[in-house]
Amino acid sequence: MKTALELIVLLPLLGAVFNILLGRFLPRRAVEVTACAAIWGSFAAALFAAGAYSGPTVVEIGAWLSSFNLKAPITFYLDSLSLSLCLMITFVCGLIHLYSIGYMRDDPCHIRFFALLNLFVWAMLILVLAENLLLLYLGWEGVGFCSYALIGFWYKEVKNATAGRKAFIVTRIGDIGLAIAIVWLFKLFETLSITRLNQMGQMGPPVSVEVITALGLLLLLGAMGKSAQAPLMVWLPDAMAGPTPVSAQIHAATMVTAGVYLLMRMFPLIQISSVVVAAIAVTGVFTAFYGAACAIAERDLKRILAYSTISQIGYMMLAVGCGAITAATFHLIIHAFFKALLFLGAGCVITAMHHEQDIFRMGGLKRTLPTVFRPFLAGALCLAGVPLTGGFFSKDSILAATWAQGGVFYGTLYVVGMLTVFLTAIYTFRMIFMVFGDRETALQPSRKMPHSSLQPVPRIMERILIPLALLALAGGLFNLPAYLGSGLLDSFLAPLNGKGGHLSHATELALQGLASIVALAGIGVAWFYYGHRHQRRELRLALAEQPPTGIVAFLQAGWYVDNLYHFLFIRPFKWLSAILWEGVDEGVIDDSLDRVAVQFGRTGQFLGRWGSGRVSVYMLSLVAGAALMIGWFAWEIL
Amino acid sequence: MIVPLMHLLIFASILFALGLICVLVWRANVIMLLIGIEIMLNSAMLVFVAGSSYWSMADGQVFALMIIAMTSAEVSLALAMVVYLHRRKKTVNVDEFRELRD
Repeated sequence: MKTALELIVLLPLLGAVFNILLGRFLPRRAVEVTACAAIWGSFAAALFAAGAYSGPTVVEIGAWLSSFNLKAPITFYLDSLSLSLCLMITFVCGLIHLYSIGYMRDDPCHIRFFALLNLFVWAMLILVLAENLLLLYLGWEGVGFCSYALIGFWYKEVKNATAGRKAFIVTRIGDIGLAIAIVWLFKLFETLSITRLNQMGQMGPPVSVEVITALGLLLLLGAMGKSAQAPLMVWLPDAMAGPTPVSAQIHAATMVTAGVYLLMRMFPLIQISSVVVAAIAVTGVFTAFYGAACAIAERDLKRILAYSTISQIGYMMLAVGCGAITAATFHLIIHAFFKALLFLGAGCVITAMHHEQDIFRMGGLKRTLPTVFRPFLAGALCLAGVPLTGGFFSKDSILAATWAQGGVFYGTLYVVGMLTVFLTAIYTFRMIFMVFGDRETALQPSRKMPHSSLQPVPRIMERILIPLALLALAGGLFNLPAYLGSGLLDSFLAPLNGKGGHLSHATELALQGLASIVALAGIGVAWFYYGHRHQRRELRLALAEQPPTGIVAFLQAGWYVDNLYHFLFIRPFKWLSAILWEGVDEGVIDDSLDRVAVQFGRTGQFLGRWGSGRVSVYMLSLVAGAALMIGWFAWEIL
Repeated sequence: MIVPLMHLLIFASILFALGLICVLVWRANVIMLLIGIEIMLNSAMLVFVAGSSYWSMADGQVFALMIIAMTSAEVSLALAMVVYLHRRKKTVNVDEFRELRD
């Protein structure tokens, strides 16, 4: 078991180090093979660990930080949650690595790309397996760094570099919350071990509920930054500047699920405070609604998917807020499958369209790219929550858990969640109809397409979509609802769940029926406006030519949150910086220093008459003087 | 303590001597001079940490942190000065700069 865990984590790191050090001496194929082999080896090790798994285990790999009473060894904690996430991460990232071979086939910087991609997986695996919070923080920051470097991968364009910096800075705001929480937890409990902290949480901690509330809110702040939850969600749509496989990896497996994972991991401790639990649920449901509402007006294919990620992560947060860790994990895994699928499919579409990303300028791809269309449609069905797909079961388990909590508060959350299901179905199929629907009515592609023919998509990129599509469609089998037999994940993850109501089979069926009706209604609305060849579709297209107005502009600009932050934070910051720079720094400090310097200069000129002016002579005399003094002391002692 | 104190002291002295020699010998380049100073500071820091761990008192480690902070401040100033000096005379030879005298 120990070897398996070591291999899971070490292989991606070794792959990255190998490519960084030796990549430039090797042919391109060798670099690609190393990167992929590292991840698939890690997946094999994870499979082995799953086979040998018999119960939660803590494995100490080695010593790390140890200073007085602070102990943070490299210790891994393998329980059902971290094991299932490890399997998912290594598998999905393995597919994404294979896909990258096709996507980056003409890029001269492939070594940097693959090394960072491997490092990204390594950081996420550390985060997931860490047994103490400090090790988790190492992975947390590692993920942050890799996302920064990969979002700004094509850093020669200013826009991309800015997007990378934005992602880094916004997540850093959340990281502050996490860092404070970690230090505070250590001060209170004198331990950073996650298992010990959670044990204390279950036994009733020696501190008051208010302190736990504050700690929980700080952890939530960290999760908000990493998982792009309101109000720190502004970085994710801009993070689309990176290469598409990176977006897929960030959204599906590595980066954004880290926040949800943190809250799931610490849930036994933070559930003591009902305020925190409610705050998590509200954050989740608000973000879910925000993401879906923005996606409905967005025109950039990748940004639609980014908003849908924000929205889906919101659902996971809602599940955590309802104490339904199983539902959150279930949705996390299914989401990883279908979101990776959608992003990789979008990558194929964008490659074929000569890097055109506006969905109003696409169309007709159903005929010209059938191998992409079918898997992409599977992913879209999953995202929209069409009955019997994996996405339907996972989303429904979250909504059912919300309903089961009962009361007005959770009732409202349920209604908003259901509304979001409706919006999700609309924007998903708006995207499908615009991208794959009829060609004749679409706007002419802009500057980027030299001729109307499609660029061929590498075979490997299309092949990768198939296993993901199968997993996304059949994902429901991992965790069937109670009336169809017991769920696999349910029994696996049961000990982690918080307290929640229990639903009868009839209620659950009724809820699922309602959810499927809502989802199908959403698809119907999308069909009505964008689907068939009709004036309404042409009206939409005509409107798309003009600059957006009213609510569309509001939604397209992401509710103007960016402008709001610019007004609230960046403008005052610039103003303050200007004062500090021109008034304080140049006016007071520099000026006074200048005067002091002038004074010193005069004195120096006066004293300089006795010196030689050569630094080396001064140095030598300094050393000689010191030697003389030391010699004198030694003489005295002897 | 795994490493005996004496070993650490000897190691630190060697480090210090190396830094000192670097400062004295390499006068053609002000950056090497700075590196020499850094090495000497690091050896001092090592002695602090060694002592702190030998007597199990945190003070030495705290002081090492202070030295790190001070060093970073010093390096940022010194490097800025190197850039400035290089811009003025197109050389980094220490002995070329003797204006203080005049």
